[in-house]
Amino acid sequence: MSTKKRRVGAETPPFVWVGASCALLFLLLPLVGLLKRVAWSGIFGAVTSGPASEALRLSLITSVVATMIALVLGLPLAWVLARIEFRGRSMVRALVMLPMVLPPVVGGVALLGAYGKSNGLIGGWLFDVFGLQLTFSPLGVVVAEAFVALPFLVMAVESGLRSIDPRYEESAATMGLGPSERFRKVTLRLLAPSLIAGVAVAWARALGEFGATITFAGNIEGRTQTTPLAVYLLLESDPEAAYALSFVLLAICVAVLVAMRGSWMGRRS
Amino acid sequence: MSVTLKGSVRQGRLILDIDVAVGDEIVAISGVNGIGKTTFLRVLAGLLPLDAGILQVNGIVLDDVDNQIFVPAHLRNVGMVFQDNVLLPFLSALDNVAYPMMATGIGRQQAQQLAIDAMGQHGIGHLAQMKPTQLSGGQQQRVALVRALISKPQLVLLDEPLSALDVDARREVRSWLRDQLKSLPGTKFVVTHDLVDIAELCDREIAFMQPQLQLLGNETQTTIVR
Repeated sequence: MSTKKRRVGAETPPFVWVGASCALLFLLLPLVGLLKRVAWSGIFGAVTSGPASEALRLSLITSVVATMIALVLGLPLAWVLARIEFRGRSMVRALVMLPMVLPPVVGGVALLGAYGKSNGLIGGWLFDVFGLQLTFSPLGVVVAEAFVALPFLVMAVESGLRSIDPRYEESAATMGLGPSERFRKVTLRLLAPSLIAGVAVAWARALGEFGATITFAGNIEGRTQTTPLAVYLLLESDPEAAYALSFVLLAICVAVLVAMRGSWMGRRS
Repeated sequence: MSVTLKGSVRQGRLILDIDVAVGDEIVAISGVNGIGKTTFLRVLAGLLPLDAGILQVNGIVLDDVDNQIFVPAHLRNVGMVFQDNVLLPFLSALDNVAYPMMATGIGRQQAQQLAIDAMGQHGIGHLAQMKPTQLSGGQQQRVALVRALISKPQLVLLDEPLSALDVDARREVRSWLRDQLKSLPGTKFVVTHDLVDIAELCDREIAFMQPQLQLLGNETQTTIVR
């Protein structure tokens, strides 16, 4: 910590301490409340049986697949945004970031407009040609999750690509490494921290996705009911399971934050 | 003539017009900051294509704008030291030195053995297992030099290769570098501001000069006869 030395003219005014404490309390209190309500003795049983375990299983599978899709699509997009200059690049970037700020429900409605079977843009075509129905199917869950997760991955990877000193790749070129070798052995290696951070936030976002999922894929138990949806419903019928599931999600997110330490966010702390 | 370059390149606000022909010798490149010395090396390395003109090295056309020929950097067999050395941060010093040889198809173990020998000869064998971040600027520079020269490049491009060294180390590395460069065939370019480097290391000097950043063959170049 370098705050020990007081700088005249930059003293911390008293209200800052009060405000900061309140803010911290505001953030912490709900977490404490959640932890207090978790029935620790029965937690394992609560999340490994019935609809809770179904939801958890579905969530893990769909969120992992969605993250992989985000990675496969997001890495090239991040590359284009970071390294290729073209007219309207900042507009494309704004468009890519849109799902981050868009209300998830609106995202779900938009997905219906595109992939809805009866009146979506290409939904009918997908069904006629490939027999593919995204709405009310696990695949739709994946699509909704990938849609909201992709921007997070693109953002992390793009900033990672920008922070790579191009001379590393140039020096690798003068050492005789061709373009694809350079990408694999140098660029990806230097990009690894950002890539891991991007995958982590994208996955966390996909795992927690609620609004777009319920709007686009519905809330069918064992089919499209992901953990956040299950938590919401179980709160009525089986609060113990709801809190147990919530704790599992919380634990995963904490793990993601820990994994991300030292990259992207939290580097300065 | 080993390297002939006649052409121009634009990078940002810099326009570099070059007409130069040199043989198998050690050539100092001097001139004020921002005049295009590094840009010149980048053109030779294949990191920056010419906007007009032709570059030939050892009789082979590497860049010819009119005929749309451009040989990219990784196929040019150059040995380059960048201004800030630029060792790959995730590799040990040893692996950095071994890397260019592995790229040419030499097996990992053999490349590492050759790298260890080369570093030992240069008196930096004890740095082999260190990561670049653990090395001082001068140590990094020594590693970068060994790396640039180890695969016997046909063209050597050194951008202020002794700048991070203190006076004593500089003298020592300079004489080592001179022996190394003398034993290599081909043309060697050394960007440097140091008059002692120019006098002791190089066969002749090409001074980059204003106005219009023009370098006109024999008119602006000073030749130091050794």
